[in-house]
Amino acid sequence: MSRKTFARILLYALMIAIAVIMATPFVYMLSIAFKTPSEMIAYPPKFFPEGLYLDNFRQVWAKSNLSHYFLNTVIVSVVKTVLVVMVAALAAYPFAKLEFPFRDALFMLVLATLMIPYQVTLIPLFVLVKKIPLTGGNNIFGVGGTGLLNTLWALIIPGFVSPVGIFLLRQFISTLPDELFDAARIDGCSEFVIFSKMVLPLIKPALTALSIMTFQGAWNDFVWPLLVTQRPSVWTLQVALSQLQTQFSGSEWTQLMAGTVISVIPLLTVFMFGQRYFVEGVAFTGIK
Amino acid sequence: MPYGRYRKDQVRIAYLFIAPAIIGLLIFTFLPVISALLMSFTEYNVLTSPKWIGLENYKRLFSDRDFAQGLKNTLYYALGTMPAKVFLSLFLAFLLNQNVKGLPVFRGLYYAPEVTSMVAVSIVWLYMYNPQVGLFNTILRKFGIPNQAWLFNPKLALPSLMLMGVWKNLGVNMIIYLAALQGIPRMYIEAAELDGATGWQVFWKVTWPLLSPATFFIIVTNLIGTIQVFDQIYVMTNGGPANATTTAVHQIYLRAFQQFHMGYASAMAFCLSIIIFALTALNFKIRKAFDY
Amino acid sequence: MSGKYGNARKTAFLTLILCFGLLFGVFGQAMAATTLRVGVWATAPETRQFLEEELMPEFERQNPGVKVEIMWLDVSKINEQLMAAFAAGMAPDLFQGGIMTFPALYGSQGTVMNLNKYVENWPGKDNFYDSAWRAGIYKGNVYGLTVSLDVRPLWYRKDFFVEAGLDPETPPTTWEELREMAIKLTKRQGSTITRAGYWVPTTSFDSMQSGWLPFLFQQGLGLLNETQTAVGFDNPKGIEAITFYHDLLWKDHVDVLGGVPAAVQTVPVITGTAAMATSGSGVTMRDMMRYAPEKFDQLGAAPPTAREQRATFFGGTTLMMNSKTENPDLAWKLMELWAQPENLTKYAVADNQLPPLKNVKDDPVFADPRWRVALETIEYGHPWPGSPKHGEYRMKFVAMSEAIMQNITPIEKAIRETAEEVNAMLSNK
Repeated sequence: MSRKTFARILLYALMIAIAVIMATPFVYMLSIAFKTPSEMIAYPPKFFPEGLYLDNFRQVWAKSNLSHYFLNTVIVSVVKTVLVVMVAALAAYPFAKLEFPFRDALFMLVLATLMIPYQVTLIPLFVLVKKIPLTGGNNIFGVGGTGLLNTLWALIIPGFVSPVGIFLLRQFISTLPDELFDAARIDGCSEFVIFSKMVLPLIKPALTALSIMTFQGAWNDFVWPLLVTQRPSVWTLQVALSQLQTQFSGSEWTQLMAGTVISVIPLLTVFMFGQRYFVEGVAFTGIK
Repeated sequence: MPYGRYRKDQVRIAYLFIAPAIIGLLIFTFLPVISALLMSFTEYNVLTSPKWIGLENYKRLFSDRDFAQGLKNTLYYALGTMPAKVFLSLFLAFLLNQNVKGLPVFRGLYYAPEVTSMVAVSIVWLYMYNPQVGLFNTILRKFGIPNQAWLFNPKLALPSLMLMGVWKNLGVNMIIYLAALQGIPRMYIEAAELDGATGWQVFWKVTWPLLSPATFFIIVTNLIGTIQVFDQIYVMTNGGPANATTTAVHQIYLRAFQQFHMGYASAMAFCLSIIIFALTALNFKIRKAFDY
Repeated sequence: MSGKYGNARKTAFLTLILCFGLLFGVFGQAMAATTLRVGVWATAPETRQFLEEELMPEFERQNPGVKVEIMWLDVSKINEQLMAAFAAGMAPDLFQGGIMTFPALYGSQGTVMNLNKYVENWPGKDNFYDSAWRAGIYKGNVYGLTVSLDVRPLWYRKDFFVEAGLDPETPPTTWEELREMAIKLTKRQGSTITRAGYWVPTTSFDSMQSGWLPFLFQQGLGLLNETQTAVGFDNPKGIEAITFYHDLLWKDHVDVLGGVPAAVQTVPVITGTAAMATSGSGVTMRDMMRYAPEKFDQLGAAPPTAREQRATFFGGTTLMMNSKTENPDLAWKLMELWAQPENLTKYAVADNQLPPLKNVKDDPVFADPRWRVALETIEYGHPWPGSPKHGEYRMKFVAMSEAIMQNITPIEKAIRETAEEVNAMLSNK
């Protein structure tokens, strides 16, 4: 066969091998979700289930009231992602392309917020969220009620600024040629128009990447939602699923995996939907 | 830079644009950080009132052997996984940019570790590292190498976790490189190819430099992130065997939430933050020096 | 010029809407006459059901005008949750914690209330097992009311006993018997162990609680000495106990480092990867029903082995009252209600633990012979010591345990070094 065909076969083989390495735990997770509990104790452990046992899904959905928490998590993740991307894009543009006093210092400040381990800011933030004025029964001094605790907002507002997002978009915007913007400015366009009509469309892949990352982070968040949602009505999916895994009463592994699979479907959906924007050919054709 | 050098309208718009972000950070990050900083000068178990002790906590840090071990492991982990993360994720992004059938499926599968729950990941990896029947030892035996204890060997435990850490976090870095690859105008590549450059030369002279903003981002954020590695350690080994895999943040967690020494934990956290800040600033300096 | 700023206006407007949404789109707190906040462990859905739908409504019925608000505690993050609640001034009036350790940790800081005045003349306390009652006491004062117990008797598989030619009705009663039977019960395929004769965990708390602690207790020793001023195993008898456990793995080879892998993380007796194991009754019984119901009859329970005394490890949960609660009498009433025999039993059944009550011996709910053994084992149960330094030294013990069990440090050296460190810790204020 020709060298080209051989190279292609090699490429496919490599890609498939890597796919196996990357996806095996995921497939195993799927496989447990479809097993009956009795299959779990087969020795030696079998990788694939005997049949497609759907009861785990039915049980975990109903018994754990998953539909409610699913909805909560969807709301939180979508709203948070939209906010994060909007705020990050707005902030990234000046850091990348405009000149203003203290620009570099402010940028380092933004990055610096990533450097404090969350374990020590967790409780102060909790107290802060409880004390936000004029919410949850609080007066103007933030006293008297419970602030944003036990609301879905507590899961959205404290995290609406993403320093990683600002950094990421700043990097991508900085690769865009200055001449493009200078030309537009000479033409009389305002910075806002430049931002919304020129910059945003050109960094679609980066916006997509950030959206995927943020959605996933919000979806999988566990410790913070556990702390601030003390009423089951505002639980997220992760908090609800964590109850299936306990030290003392044993874990419902098959149901836990079924719940986890359900929880993972939106993440994969968002990814598959988003990765279309990674298709080649988005690059612009040239400078005017 | 003297103020006159700036264009007034640009400055105004710039501050307007960054305002939501800065305000948000000031309220929801800086206030808690100041709080934590103040706590670091106290003996505070959170249940009762704090007691001011000045620099006592910071002094104690210097003789804390567990924290020292955690720091050592942390730096080893962060610096050791960095090259693999950068090059493997770039490699994968390249593969996922090829013209092959079923590309979206491949992309989804390569991204799978990111969406697989830590529980499922730990089950599979614990099995692979099982000293008796695990995959790695099975392969080693075929080459005549005796069984390794992996996660039960203090020398191998951390590298074992590092391998798993690299594997788990390739997905995010990969999609950043994928996004960056889209931004490289085809015409640069074609021009270089027309000039007679080989594939390798095209990569080094054209693609790699153009990817540098993305690479810089990946290096900086991954460094900041892996220095704070915690979840993986907690789930897989809880710092064991015998502190061989404890990390700085793991130590912070133990002091804060198991020993009720929130003040001490805060001091530890700030000590770590200073180290992270120094390394990040170093990154920026290096970048400026190689200016690209 | 308005067109130029049209987009800016739109954004400002949206932001304003967002702000209003922030202010008004939040749930207010229901105004009740009195609210009692109770922090309880979120374990099985059945427990949630019992507490949410039976116990708390019953309490509300008995005390009109009172509303109970349940704060669900994730056992693995319980301190984060409690500490955050305390820091924000939202501490629960009542909360559940681990026996011995929580009363010591929280009691020593004055965070939980001394219940002596409530329990002095309370008839209910006579129904508690001694060990269960003592598990809520710190420095002579009652801080907690024990509501559930999890003892660790010896579990074994009768079918594996038969397979190995052993009498399924005669489980081991001494260390030697345990050793010999374990050796016989270990199943191999070539040189690979496919079934451990006795489960020998080497990591984390299992290596202690299901590991060498029972043997240490059986020597008449404790983790700490009587006065809690030093470790209790830094002596020949202690070394003997730990060495016995260590040698089960490394000399007698009844298990293998890393364990025999199973698809599901639970007690190996259930998955068939071990023939005997010391493990919590709750998880063992429940998971056996869950994963191997058809073999349920083959599961046998036995009291722990004995040397100088018969002993094993036990854990459990205890209810404590916030010392700053505004409604102490009301909170006590809830504790009393929960501690009523029918309620404690229902809670125990839901949680698959044992109620700490003596009268349970006659309760048909626990008629199963294995529950009988578990109940009997309560008398032999020894918990973690109740020391306020628990949070500080527990990881030292785990590190020592792992260093010994994974052959990283020689036994005596590890014990000596850890004893030095922990003794220093204990002598600090």
